[in-house]
Amino acid sequence: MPIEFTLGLAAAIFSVGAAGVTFRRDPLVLFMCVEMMFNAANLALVGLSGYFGLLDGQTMVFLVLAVAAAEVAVGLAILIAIFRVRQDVDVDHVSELRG
Amino acid sequence: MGLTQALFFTFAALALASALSVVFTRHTVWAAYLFVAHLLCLAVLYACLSAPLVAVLQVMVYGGAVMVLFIFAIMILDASVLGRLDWRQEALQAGLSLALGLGLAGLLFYVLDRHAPALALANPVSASADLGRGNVAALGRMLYTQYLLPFEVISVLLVVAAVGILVMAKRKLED
Amino acid sequence: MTSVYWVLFLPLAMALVNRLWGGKLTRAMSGVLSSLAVGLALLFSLYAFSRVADLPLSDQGSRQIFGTLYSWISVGGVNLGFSLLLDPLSALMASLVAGVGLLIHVYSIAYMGGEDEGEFSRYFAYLNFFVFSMLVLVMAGSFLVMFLGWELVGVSSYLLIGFYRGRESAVKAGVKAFLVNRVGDFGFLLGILALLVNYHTLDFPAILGNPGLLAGRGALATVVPLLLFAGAVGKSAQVPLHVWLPDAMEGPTPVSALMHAATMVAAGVFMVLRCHALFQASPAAMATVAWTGVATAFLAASIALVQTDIKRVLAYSTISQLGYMMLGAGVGAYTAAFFHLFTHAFFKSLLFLGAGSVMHAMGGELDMTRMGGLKARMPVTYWTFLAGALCLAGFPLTSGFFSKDEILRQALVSPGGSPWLWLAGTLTAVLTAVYAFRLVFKVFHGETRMEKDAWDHVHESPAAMTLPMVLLAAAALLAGLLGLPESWTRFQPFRDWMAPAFFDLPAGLMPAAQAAAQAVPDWALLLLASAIALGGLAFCWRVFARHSDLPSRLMESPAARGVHALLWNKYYFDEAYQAVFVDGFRGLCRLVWRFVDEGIIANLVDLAGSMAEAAGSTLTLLQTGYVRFYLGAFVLGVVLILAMLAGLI
Repeated sequence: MPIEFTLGLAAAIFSVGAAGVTFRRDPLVLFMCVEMMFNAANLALVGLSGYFGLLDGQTMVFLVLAVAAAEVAVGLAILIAIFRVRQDVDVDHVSELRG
Repeated sequence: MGLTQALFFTFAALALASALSVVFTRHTVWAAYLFVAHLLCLAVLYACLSAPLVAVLQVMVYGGAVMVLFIFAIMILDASVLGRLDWRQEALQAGLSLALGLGLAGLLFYVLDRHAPALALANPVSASADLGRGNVAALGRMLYTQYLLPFEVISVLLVVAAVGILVMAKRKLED
Repeated sequence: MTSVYWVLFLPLAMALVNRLWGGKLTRAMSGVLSSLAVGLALLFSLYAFSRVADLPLSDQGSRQIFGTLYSWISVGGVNLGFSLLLDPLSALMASLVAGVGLLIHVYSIAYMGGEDEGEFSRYFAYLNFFVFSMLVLVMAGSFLVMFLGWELVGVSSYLLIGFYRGRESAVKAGVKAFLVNRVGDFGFLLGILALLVNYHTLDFPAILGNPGLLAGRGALATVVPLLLFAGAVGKSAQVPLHVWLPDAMEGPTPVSALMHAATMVAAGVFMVLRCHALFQASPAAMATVAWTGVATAFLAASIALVQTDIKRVLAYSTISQLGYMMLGAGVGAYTAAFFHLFTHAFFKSLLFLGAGSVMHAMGGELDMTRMGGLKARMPVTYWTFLAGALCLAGFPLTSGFFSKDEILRQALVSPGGSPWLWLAGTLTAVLTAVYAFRLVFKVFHGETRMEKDAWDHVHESPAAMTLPMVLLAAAALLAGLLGLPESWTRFQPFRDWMAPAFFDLPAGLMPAAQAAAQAVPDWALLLLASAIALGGLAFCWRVFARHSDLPSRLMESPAARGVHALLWNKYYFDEAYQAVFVDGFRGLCRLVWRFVDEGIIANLVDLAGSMAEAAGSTLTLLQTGYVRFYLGAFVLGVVLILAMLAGLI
């Protein structure tokens, strides 16, 4: 597999995720986009690991997977906690961070 | 072009397409399904890139655990469609996001393009198929020796996350 | 030198014991141990004295032991050691300090008996500490160590003046003494630094053995001695820095006797004597010392004439006598000046102890207009006090007579003297005789002016107080034998002892008037001095003991009233200093406060604050609270950083 292609694909998916994060108001989709960016990074790592014949990249992916899983679990728990209080999930309505 | 390569390019296209669909579909449930498709495509890509363990983990962790979480969240939140914004506002936000995404992508491709020759020069082994076969044992050995500390830190992180979720999910005692 | 270390160590150790475990010692333990420490220090210093006596004369005709305890400061080419010097001057002065100190310690056991244990041991801690400091000053072998001792006695003086810390006036007097001394000490320090720059050492033998080096540096030869003299002016309460000493009488009376009469205030004179080699290289510096001394002597004696507070009279008398010593040092009569210091230590501490005894008997009363007739109730105090007053007034054949007369004679005939100095000194002697006997007659003679109750309580003081007084009285009366006039006898123990320590003033400087004055016979001067003392006695007997109406008749004339007011208010020194320095400085501070601080600095600070506030309120506009906005900004940041790394920006 040509490494440039793999990295280019990863870059493309990452950019899509980044755009999605800023575009979507639905917190669930927002999370999906974040995951998408994680996955893009993983793809680049796996590609380079194969390219150089080293296993370190895949080890890193393993660690990233674990972190991503934890992040999703915590994030969704927070979402549900917020929903319990507000009955509303539009992120634009949760604007208590305003200075 | 061998079977692997055919698979790779096909699923690469599918992965990108599903990623875009996730961002642009309006229904949360549809987005979730498309996201599963995206994750599975990536699993195939990992397999093609001689990383079978990562591919399997991708299916188990993302395709299984994470997706189940998303589906549950969708069920509980019961908010498949959000109220619409004023079209001008929506267009502005879409434009800004698009610009940002395109800018990022352009920048990344520019960097990639600039460094491609260096990357080609650095190529030590042509993508060895050997890496794929039976690398589970090697990966495991690596995790438990060279990467033991990060591994343990990740374990602690998972425990902390589990405890934190329990605390948050529990209804307040005074309620 | 070992004995010298013990001289220093014992009082210091006892001061620490008293301060650290004071509350746990009984009064008797604390007092006796402290006195014992000073007593042993006296024995050791007498031993050191005998060691000096055994020394052979060196080539330069001096007799000294110089030792360095340890190297203190070693920077660059300068090596300053903690060095001590034992010579006739320091050995005698150390014995004097320890001896008078011992008597005062014993006296204090009884005098301070009314204090509780904590205060009692605090008092003795300070007193021991003072003895230690004074001994450091006296036996210092370099200007640095002397300055150390100098400042340490300043600290102990401050602590002891403010000993009654519950009394505001005492605390203020302590602060005043400290601050006024600071002025002089600043000059002293500058002088020491100038010496360090020029000599690259501060050891006495190196500097004082080579005054020519400084003399070759032009104006420095005059400036450096004058700077050193500034320190002496502060410590020895010479005009214009004399204002602290009368206020220092707020301390316990034994302290006044020990520090503010006998020893500490003599440190300035001692320092001038120690450095006389530097002074006499400059006629201008010598003249300054002499004239400052005689001016101080006269001003202080005139103030003492009208004061009614016993201790204040004695304080001004001390200032006046210190002025005599300075006069002696300034005209090159070093032996005479030191002899006067020596005799003055006895009779003035005796007078203070007598005043303390009177106070003790009268419950703290100090105003002599409310005394009188104490002679009958306090015979020991009366006779010893009278002995002190006779010495002070220069009554014939007492020690004060010989020492003061020698200074006045030298003021007339020495190469550095002048008839005017002699005249001013002699006039001062008249005033001295008058105020000394006025004090005696007002306090002890005539009918009592006390109330009946208080009068019934008057009693003689206990033996611990009277014994030191008797010893001091004996010393004061007999000390004159050590320095009889040279025309009388060849028995000159004091002069012979001090000879190795002092250089004579070069005779080549002698002006013509001095040569003519040499012709004045000794007996004429002695006769004049006797006449002055006897005249003063007779005058005071008529006026004060017999209650003549002369004072009240005098007060009828406006001129006399004006003079009285001037003297009563001590020439308005305090008021002038208050107006010029204290109020002036306050005004300056207020100016700085209003215009510089509030006008400029405060506005600048406010400007910084309001700028930060403005910047902050502008930046809050960015904080929309929308998560997606933050995420977008974050991604934008990533893009920008990436672009920078890629070299696009």
